[in-house]
Amino acid sequence: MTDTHTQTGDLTAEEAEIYGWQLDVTGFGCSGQQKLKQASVLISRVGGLGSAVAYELAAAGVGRLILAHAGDVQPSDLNRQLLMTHDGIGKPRIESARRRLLELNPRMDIIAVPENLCAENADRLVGLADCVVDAAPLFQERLAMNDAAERRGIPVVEAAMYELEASLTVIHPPHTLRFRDLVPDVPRGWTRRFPVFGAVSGSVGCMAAMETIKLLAGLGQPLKNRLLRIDLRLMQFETIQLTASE
Amino acid sequence: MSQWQVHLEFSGPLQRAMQTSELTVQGSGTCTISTVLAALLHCQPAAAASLGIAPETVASALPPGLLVLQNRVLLPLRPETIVQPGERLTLMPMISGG
Repeated sequence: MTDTHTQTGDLTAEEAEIYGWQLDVTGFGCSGQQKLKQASVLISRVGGLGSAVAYELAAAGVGRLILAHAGDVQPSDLNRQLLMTHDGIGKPRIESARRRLLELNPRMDIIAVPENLCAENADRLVGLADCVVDAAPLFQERLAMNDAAERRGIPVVEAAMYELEASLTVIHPPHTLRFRDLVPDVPRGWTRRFPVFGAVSGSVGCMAAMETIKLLAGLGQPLKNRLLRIDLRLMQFETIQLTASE
Repeated sequence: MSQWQVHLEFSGPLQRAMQTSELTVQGSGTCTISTVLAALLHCQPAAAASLGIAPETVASALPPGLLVLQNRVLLPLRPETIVQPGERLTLMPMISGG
């Protein structure tokens, strides 16, 4: 019988086998994988966007995910929230998410928090993480999370979508502008319900996961002071240069 | 007093509210972000108001979360920022769908 837990460098033989194809990525290797294994990532909501982020980070071997999402699975979640299942309707979303992620990666640690980010819990939850991913549908949550992350010097991967458009950037003051430089306060007119295909939230979710991996592993050039704007109706991608307010 | 026109492109919920992806607005005098938004408010009052562009505030403050881009570069978020007549601006409200 093969001992799948024999150490290979800093990774077990099982890990080396599972992650072998990504270990070949230039600039990543065993040291990058070890960084992911040691990392904790907070994801604010595991809905359409956050589900894709969480699934990709679980697949990539991030050691710990802190998932914050309140409420029970609704039928209307199922067009996009890929960690939710039909038989989970009426049950806590966070438990569906935990179960699905552990099916993929039973080696990881998951802290499942049945709460949405708010000013009262943001410092506590952000304090558990090395990096946070903002996939919340309300600006109040985004502002609370960014305020807490800024106080702790933790980078935030800011991902959002609307209809067939999406945006992605990395906020990490003082290396970048602050989220409040872009959104000083809750904008008028944004509503809780927004038009969405799961393929749109999933697309930007995968990109947000890649930005997170880059930040954790020191790989490539994260979207700092740049905003990626995506229009899937026209299949156009453009990068907007951002600078801090004067 | 000099006349000006500015070509506007809309994204996300603004495009949906305007029911068009672009519009040309006109005005006279100094062309700034606030006078452009005031012209937009005049053309499409309900849609502009839905994003927080209001007559009483447009001259003093931009709506929170509205980005104004010129040639893919973010313009300073100040009402008095000068816009060159004939320029093409993109009005991009920040979005929060997850």
